[in-house]
Amino acid sequence: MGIIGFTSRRLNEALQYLHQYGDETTIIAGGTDVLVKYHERLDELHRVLNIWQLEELKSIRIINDQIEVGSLVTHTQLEDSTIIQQNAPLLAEAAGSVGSPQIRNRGTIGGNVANASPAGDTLTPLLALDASVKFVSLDRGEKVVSLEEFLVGPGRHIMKKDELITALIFPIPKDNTVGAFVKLGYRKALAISTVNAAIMLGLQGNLIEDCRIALGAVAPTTKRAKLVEELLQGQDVTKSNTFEILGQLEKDIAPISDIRGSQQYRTDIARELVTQGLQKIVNKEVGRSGR
Amino acid sequence: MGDNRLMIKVTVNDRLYELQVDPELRLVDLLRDELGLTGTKEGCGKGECGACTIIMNGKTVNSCMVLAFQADGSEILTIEGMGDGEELHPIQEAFIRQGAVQCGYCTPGMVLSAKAILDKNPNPSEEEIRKGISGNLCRCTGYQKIVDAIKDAAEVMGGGGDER
Ligand SMILES: Cc1cc2nc3c(=O)[nH]c(=O)nc-3n(C[C@H](O)[C@H](O)[C@H](O)COP(=O)(O)OP(=O)(O)OC[C@H]3O[C@@H](n4cnc5c(N)ncnc54)[C@H](O)[C@@H]3O)c2cc1C
Ligand code: FES
Ligand code: FES
Repeated sequence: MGIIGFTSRRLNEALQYLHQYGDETTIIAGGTDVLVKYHERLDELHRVLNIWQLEELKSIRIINDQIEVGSLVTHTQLEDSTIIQQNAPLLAEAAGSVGSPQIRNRGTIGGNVANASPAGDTLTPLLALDASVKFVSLDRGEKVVSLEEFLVGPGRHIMKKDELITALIFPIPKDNTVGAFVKLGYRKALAISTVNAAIMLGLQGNLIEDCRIALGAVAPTTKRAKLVEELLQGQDVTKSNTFEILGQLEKDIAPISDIRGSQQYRTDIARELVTQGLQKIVNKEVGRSGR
Repeated sequence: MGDNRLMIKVTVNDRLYELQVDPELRLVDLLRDELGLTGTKEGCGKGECGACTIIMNGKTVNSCMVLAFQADGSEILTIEGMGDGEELHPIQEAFIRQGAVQCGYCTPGMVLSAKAILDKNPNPSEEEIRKGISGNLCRCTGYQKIVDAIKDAAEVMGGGGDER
């Protein structure tokens, strides 16, 4: 029999295909996850829907007070985009840290999100930016769901087989916010990160007005550290007791032990990364105007 | 299998091909097995070594990470398209001059990554060079000679002529 391939050239065509064959179809965008997963067993795929040629999903746009990133935007595009560099430098930095130039030239943000790896590098900045996922099906139309609700487990999300992600959306961060992305992998290029963290702080002078902290690869999904976020509110970012609060991070995360690092190691590293991220912000190394 | 084949058009090294391909065929297999362009190598088959690097629509990609039918409509440059058939490309000459080729397995991919680096910035810093070849593994040279070769090529190419 062999597998069946189809290239969609318009979104509607792709949705129609998924409507008809969704249950037996694997969507392929940049293919950098799919072709690793099916390495040497491509014949086990049934139907492959190629969406790489959907030009309408390849742009980064400002729409009112939101930024909309098409699902087929590559990591290279994110890294090089002035809109992203100016408004969400932490996302540009995360995208620039993915794999290698070749992987960044093919790997897409939509693929990173749909793959739902707890170590996915764009997921932490997207969570810290309070992003939502826009996805669509032929008969149920368009849905917009917060990324937090979208991710339900390692490799798992709430989408059905006839649905397709069209964009990631997040509000343009306010002028008093600064963000940071920190990653620790075990080799510089090509390492799937063991742990990464993204932080967005809203500052009133030195006081933390509100904050979002997202941690990758310390739990079954990329995760917000909500307890610590709450404790940090009202604290002075330059004071040392603010950093002591980060000792509470272990209550926010449920690290899994695997080949890339033991549980205690991950907890320690998560704390270290968030500390580094806060430090980066304090030192004004990152931020909307500071880059 | 024949029934599931897809019709694609690709331009490889300035030559247009119209081909029928099996959906599970990867671009690296198309280039090597069907077009006979065996300069492109396969190492890991998983996007990690860069031996299969080609330039597709101006960007380096791992040809083991692309299905051939996804390449429909694209323009591809492989190592065979770098020189003009008689003379080597200045990047290739610089690799030889600097002793950046040992076993040679990584070389085609390295040369294409080098081209992408120089296309983006004709005068790259050492850091840009190292970042640019970070997706290409070399088990022989320890990389320094490759970095030197790319710097050398930048100088030669920036000198006057603008073949790139
Ligand atoms: C060598 C190597 C290094 C890597 N390094 C990193 C790294 O450092 N950090 C990191 O985060 N990732 C890394 N990755 C993983 C991968 O590159 C990224 O997750 C990438 O963003 C995936 O995008 P893609 O378009 O290639 O996905 P694909 O492989 O095309 O698809 C991935 C999954 O998402 C689904 N999908 C894709 N697009 C859509 C859509 N629009 N709607 C619905 N479903 C969709 C597919 O069906 C599939 O299940 C690496 C991969 C390799 C091979
Ligand atoms: S063979 Fe393609 S990256 Fe190793
Ligand atoms: S020269 Fe042998 S792998 Fe690079």
